Amino acid sequence: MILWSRIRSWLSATLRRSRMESEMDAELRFHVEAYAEDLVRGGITREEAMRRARLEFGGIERVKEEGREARGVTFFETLVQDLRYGATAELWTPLQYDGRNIISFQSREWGHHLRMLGRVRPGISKEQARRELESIAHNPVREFPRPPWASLEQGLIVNSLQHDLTVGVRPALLAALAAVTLVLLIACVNVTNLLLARGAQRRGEFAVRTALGAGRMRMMRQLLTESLLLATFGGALGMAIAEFGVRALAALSPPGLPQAGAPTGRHRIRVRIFDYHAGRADDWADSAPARFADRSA
Amino acid sequence: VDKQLDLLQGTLDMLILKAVSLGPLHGYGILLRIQQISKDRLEIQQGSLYPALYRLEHQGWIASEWGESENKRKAKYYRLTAAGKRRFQTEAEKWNRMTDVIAGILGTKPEEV
Repeated sequence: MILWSRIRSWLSATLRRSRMESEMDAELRFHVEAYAEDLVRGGITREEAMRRARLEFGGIERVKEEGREARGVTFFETLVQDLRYGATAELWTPLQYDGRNIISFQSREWGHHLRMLGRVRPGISKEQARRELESIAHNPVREFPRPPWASLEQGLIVNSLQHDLTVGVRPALLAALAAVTLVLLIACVNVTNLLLARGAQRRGEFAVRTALGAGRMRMMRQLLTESLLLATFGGALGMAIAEFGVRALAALSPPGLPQAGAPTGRHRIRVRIFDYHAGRADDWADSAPARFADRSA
Repeated sequence: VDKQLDLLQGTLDMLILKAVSLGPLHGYGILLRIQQISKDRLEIQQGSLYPALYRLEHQGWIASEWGESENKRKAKYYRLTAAGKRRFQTEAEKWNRMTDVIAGILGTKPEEV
C-alpha cells in the first residue's frame, strides 16, 4: 500500500532525525568537556574551564542550526526545535552579524537562512499582510542598498504558521484519522449487530409483557433506558481510556511532531468531542432493538 | 608570538580532509591536530568545525562511527572515505596551482612585465 509505506517512511525519517539530534548533542558536549579537561590540566578550576570552553566554542544553538542545514534537515523541523529552545531560553539577545562579511554573497550576513515569524493584527487578512510586506520589500531602507538579485522583486512569501508547521505531517495524520474513523465505523456496526441479535433472543420476553398488557410506550421506555445506560457506561469508559490514551500517545510521539508535548487543554477538548460522537453512535445502535421489538410486537 | 591568522574561506574543508586522512579522529581531535600541525598559527572557530564536518559527511567524503576516546568516553570518530581521498587530491592540486599563480603575481618585478 502506498499510503502505508509513506507513513512508514515518514515515521522512520522522524526517528532518524531525533537520533541525529541526540547524537549531535552528545558530540558537541564531548567536544566542550574534552576541551575543558585540557584547560583544567593547564591549571584552572573545573568550573572556570567549563565556562571558558563553552564561550570559546561559540553559540551552540547556532552551530546546531548550521549543522542541521548542512545535513539537509527541513525548515519545519528546525522551527519546532527553535520553538522548544525559545520556550526554555533565559536570555535573548539581538541577532548581531559581522557587517564586514557582507562582501561575500554566500555569507550568513545576507540572512538567506532566516525566516520571520510575525503576528498579524486581528481582522487583517493574509492577502493584506502580503501586500503590505510587498510594499516594504519594494522600498528598501535608504541606508541599506541592495544588489539587484536581492531586491525581492517577488515580494515576500507569506504563509500561515499552522500551514507551515503541519504541511509535512498533514497527509500522514489525515490517513491515520481516516483509518481510525473506519475502525469506529466497524465497531458501531458490531455493536448494532450484537444488539439486534439480543433483541431477537428477547422476543419471548416482549411477547409475555405485551400479553400482560404493557403498552407500546412502556416497551419503548424500557428499551430506551437500557440503551441509554449502555451508552453512558460505554461513553464513560471510552473517555477514561481516551484520557490515558492521549497521554500515552503524546509521550510516545516522535519529537518532530507538532503539538506532541504534554497533553494540553486542547487534547482534552478533542477527547470530549470524540466521545460525544461515539456516544451518539451508540445511542443510535441501541435504539435499534426498540424499533425491532416494536415491529415484532 | 606571531598573531594567529584567520582561516581563509573555503579552506577549512580541505584541512579537515587532510587531518582525517592521517587517521580517524573525533571532532576535538581534528581541531587539535590542525592546530598542532600549523603550530598554533591558525585561528579556527571551534563551533564552525561541526557544520563543516556534517557537510563533508553528507557529501560522503568522510564517514563517522562512535568509538571510545582516550579518556574512556563515547566519541564520534571521522575517517576519510575513498571518495573523500579523491576529493582531497583534486582540492589540494587546485589549491597549489592557485597559490603558485597568486604568489607569481605578487612577486612580479617591474622589469618582468
